[in-house]
Amino acid sequence: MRLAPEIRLVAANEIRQGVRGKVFRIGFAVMVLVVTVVGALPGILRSSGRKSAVVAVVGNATPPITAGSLRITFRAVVDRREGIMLLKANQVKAVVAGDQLVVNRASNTELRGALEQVHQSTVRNQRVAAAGLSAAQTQAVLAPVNRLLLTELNPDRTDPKAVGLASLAQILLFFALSTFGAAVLHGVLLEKSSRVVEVVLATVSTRQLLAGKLLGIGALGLLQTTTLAVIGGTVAKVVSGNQIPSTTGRTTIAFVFCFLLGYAFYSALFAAAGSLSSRIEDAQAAATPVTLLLTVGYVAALILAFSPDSTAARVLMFVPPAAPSIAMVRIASGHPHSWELAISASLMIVATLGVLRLAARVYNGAALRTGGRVKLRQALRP
Amino acid sequence: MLNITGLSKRYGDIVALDEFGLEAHGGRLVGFLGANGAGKTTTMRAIFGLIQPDAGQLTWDGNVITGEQRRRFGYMPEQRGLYARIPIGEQLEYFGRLHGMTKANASVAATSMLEELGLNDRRADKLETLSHGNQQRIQLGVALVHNPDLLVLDEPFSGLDPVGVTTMIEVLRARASAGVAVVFSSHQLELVEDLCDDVILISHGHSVLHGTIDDVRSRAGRRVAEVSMANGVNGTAPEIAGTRAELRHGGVRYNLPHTVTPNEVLAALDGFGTITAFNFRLPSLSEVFLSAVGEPAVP
Repeated sequence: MRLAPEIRLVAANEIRQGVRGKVFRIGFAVMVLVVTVVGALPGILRSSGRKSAVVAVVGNATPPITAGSLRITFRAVVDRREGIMLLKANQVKAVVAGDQLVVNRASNTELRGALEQVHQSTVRNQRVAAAGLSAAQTQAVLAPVNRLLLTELNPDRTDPKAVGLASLAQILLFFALSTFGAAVLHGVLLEKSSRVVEVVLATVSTRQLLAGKLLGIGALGLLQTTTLAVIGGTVAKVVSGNQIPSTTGRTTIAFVFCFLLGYAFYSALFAAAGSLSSRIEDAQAAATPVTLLLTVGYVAALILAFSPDSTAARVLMFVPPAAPSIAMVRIASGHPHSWELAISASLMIVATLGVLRLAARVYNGAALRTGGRVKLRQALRP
Repeated sequence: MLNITGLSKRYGDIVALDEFGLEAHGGRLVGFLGANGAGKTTTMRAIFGLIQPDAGQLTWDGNVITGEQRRRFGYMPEQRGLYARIPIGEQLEYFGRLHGMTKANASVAATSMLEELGLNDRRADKLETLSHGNQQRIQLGVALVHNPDLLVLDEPFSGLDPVGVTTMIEVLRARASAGVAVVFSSHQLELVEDLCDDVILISHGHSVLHGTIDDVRSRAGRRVAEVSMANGVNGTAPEIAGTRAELRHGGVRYNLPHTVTPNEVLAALDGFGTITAFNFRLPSLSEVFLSAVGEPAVP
């Protein structure tokens, strides 16, 4: 499909104006900083969560052990006194001398628990050996008992990592739709209040101007948001190694898909709201129902991110204003059927076409009416 | 040639245009006159497809005006406005391209327009950094950058200082000389009388008078008699053909039906004083406007 040259010109002008704006550049720099920090945070927290401790042991040192996030290495000392000297010099965290444990304070339960387990196991081994059992008998007695085999009748298939990523993508989607919806609102308002719209509309049709505006700002929005997602993802990958959730790919695709449908729907409504106003205060008031609609979908999706396949989520995915947000979390962390996605997308496309048509009509009827706020009924009057 | 016939538009109970017609030929300047709210802006917006008329036909060279044709027109609306934060050179280029020019041609046209407007050294400056007068020039530049076949300007002289008015007159004359059809509205009737070839007067949405300036003045059906008298008028100046005299600086002035002759005026004033000067002429455009519309040109 080839766009009309007028639409391309308007879209390019919107992109140029958008990129040139200080608000865009500063906002983008701040967002890059935020996603970098957010991307790096899990890795940083995980690496800072790995702890180690050196423990003095009277007699022979045993190989290091790992208990949970705690790695314990043992240092052999001659007697209890030498161990306590090292403890006082803060070179070891504890001293094990036979059946005695010496620590500075008893508050480190993780270390105590781990050392207790080592002690129990060592003493049990010594008792088995003292009982005069053969090596095979000892091995049979001490062999680990199989854990209970678990069977879930109604399993929770939600992967916590996937839910986290879905929530993050959902927040980014809400941010993108709000930000670029507001950019459309302000762009339309600015053209109307500066009166330039009359000169522009003398050369292009209302639909061409609206389409170019939405496409230009939308392209800028998609580029900015995906750039942020790529930066965040790359930072997370580099800092956290292989801890990237396996759902990252489909989450990204879902994001782009939901952004495109959500942006087309909401930006058209924002454009209509902007055209009804000549002042920023009026524009914000006119846009309140749109913002409310977007926020309701966002909050519902955030709640349903923890139960993406619930009845509520499945139903709301078919309700166009909420569909982009709900579909986002369902695709990212749930298990929607392909027919559900197809119906949801179809309903959203039909609703978006209707909204675009309505917005073009409102825009046409209101763009040249300056002064106060134009009522919707006035704008729709031929 | 622009031809408008039977143009009608209502906004609820308000009749903005009522079977209005207008013609504008290439190479001629048309003054579009009328009081505020008479329907001038609605007509101009209809030419550019900015409003949908209820009835009527708008043609250019005999063909119904299309979007493609409109790109060959230039428009300067009464409510001025451009992009405040876009450099003026880029702005002219953008509008050139919206009017169908290629990128290269639009760039060349923007440069030559800036030269014509004396603002070439400010090409990279944002519009908002220019003075009000220079912003007005750029607004004119936007209407002209693509060398339009038809130029429509709504109150182009509004807000201009005398230098700006002179520049605007020169630009409009130059465009008309180059074959462009120029239509503009103005409340400055003396200026219109000096500048225009044709004039059309609209009142309450319909055409009241139209034609060349001389035609309109002679077809107004009025004559103006101005009489200066030494020591003023003795007694009360007489009515002539039912018209009362207006006292003027030691003399009288009559706005008379065209059937009254100069001799009848002189005969009527015989005995009322010594006449020192007598002027019997066609009414000025301003006088035609006032008698046709019945209200002052400037609100």
